[in-house]
Amino acid sequence: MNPQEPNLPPPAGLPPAEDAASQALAEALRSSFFIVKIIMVGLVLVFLGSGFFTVGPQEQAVVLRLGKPVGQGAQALLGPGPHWAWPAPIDEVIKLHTTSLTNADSTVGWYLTAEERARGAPEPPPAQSLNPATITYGLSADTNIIHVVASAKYHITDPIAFHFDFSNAPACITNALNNALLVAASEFPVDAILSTNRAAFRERVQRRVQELTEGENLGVSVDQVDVESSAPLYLRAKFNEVDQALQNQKETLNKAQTYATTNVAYATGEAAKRVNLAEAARKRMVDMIAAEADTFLKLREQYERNPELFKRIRQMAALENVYTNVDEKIMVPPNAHEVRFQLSREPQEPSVSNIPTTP
Amino acid sequence: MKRTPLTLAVAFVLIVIFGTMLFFYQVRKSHVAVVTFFGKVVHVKSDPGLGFRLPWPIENVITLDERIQNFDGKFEQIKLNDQNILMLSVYVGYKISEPDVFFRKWPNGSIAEAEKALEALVRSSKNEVAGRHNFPDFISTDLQQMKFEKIEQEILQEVQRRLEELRQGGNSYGVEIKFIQIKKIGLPEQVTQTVFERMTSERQFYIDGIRSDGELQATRIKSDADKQAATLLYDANARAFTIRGEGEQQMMKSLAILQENPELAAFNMQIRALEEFLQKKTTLVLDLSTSPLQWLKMSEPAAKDK
Repeated sequence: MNPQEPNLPPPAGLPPAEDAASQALAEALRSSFFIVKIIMVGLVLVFLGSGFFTVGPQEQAVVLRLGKPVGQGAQALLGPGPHWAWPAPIDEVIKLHTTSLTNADSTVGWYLTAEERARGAPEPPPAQSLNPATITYGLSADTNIIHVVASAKYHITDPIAFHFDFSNAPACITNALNNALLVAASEFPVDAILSTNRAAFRERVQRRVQELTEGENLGVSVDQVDVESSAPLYLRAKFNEVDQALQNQKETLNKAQTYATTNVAYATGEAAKRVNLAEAARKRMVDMIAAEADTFLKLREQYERNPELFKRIRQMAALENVYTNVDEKIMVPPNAHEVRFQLSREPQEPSVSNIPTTP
Repeated sequence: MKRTPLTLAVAFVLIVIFGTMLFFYQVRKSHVAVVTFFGKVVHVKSDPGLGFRLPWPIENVITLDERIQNFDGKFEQIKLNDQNILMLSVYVGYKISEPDVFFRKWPNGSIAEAEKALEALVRSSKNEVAGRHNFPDFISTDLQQMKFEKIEQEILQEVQRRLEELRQGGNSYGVEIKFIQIKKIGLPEQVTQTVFERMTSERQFYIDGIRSDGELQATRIKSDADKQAATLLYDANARAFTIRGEGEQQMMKSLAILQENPELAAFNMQIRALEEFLQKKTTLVLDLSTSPLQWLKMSEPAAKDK
């Protein structure tokens, strides 16, 4: 608006009062236009300023300009930090969660629904039969009923595919997890799923989920799958009996193993002892006879010179040795009619005089 | 008021906005726009961006979601080829492949109406394909026999075949099926009771087997240990016997020396045995007539003489 417009002179022939009114009106209009101008400039600034946005550390963003992505492929993705785009309706900013792990829970195969599990609902009472409308389960390879549930952690590797190719990509991942559980359960016997081969079962579920998500081009990578399994509630006690029987079997085998180890160890020791004893006896006999032979050879000449004298001397030497070394000597008087001895007496403490001397 | 530049600019902007709204439409990525001229489809715009249109009511623009949609099929009983009954449900991924056809086929391009018809078609295909298979094709310990994934593929192909037939017959649904996978599997309720009874008896059989097997193994371990111990002792006895025999052979040389004078040898051995025998913890009761104590006795009279 032209700021000179309110200063126009009053038309000729009008009274001075009207001039004053016109001037006042012109002044008011001028002020109003000025305010409107300020507001308009402010609105323009607000409009442009509203185009600023921030992309978080675990996000990427795509700007759609009149509905079309700005940039092609990976170039269309804006990284973390501040950015500016034309305000709506020209541009539309779509933020995509990419690097953070997202969780997906299976919705079939368990005796509680996902919502019931999430709020920690109690187990339903065991029933002799299962109504498929209310309780879902898997069928194992040996045609047993088993409850299985899985939880997958994934991250988005292709945000554009994840957000723009699927109307509900998380639902597709959940269904892939459901399918993987059923397929894996149908390939493993019930005991393998419950106890003996849980790792292989879990790996099979994860592999199947990965195959499905890749096959459908969901643009995600499955990082981890956790699997839980349970026997049907009605048969849980029976399955526990099996576990108990296995524990008992293990205990019985441990006891038998202990018996075997102890027995063989004892026999090994006893065998060694017998061999050692025989070895010692052999050595003792051989050494003793050898010593006898040695003594024999030394004494033979003396003996043959006078056998009786030799025997007498040897006898006396032996008696001297014996008399000297015995613990106690009791002399019976020549005229004693009766001699009494107390048997089982306390043995005498050896005194210095009683210590045997070397012959 | 005069027509100032600002007034003109504002008027221009308003005209541009209004004109754009009247004559242009926006197609967002992953969507497709169907343009109708007095209700007749005249143009389909599938690439994102701005498109030109005549103002309503001459031309109308309907936007459809071109992304893959998914829905769950009904969980229902299927009679298999071997007369077993199995319960199955599938989930389906599809997308609008012919937007103009889709728009014409379903009232106002209604996704719900399309899914209703698709669900019936998928259900029929699923029953037909599953009915050609036996129970072990779904569930079996023999992985070679299992055809779980193949059955899913067959259902997909059957649905695609039927959609193609409809298309060629001029009754196309305007959609393309991307994937079909089994979501739920089960048995009729009365069958689950039978399965539970069988599982119970199998568990009992298993428990009995574990118990008897444990006892059998334990007995085997013990008897093996006993046998091993007996063998060790037997071998030790044999070895000891051999050692003693070797000792006797080694003694022969010394014995030959002793046999040169057996009387002397026996005397020596007796004397040595006597010395060893009486060496410790012995109380010797001696009569004074025993040699050489008799000499003590002989000295007594001399003592009395003094």
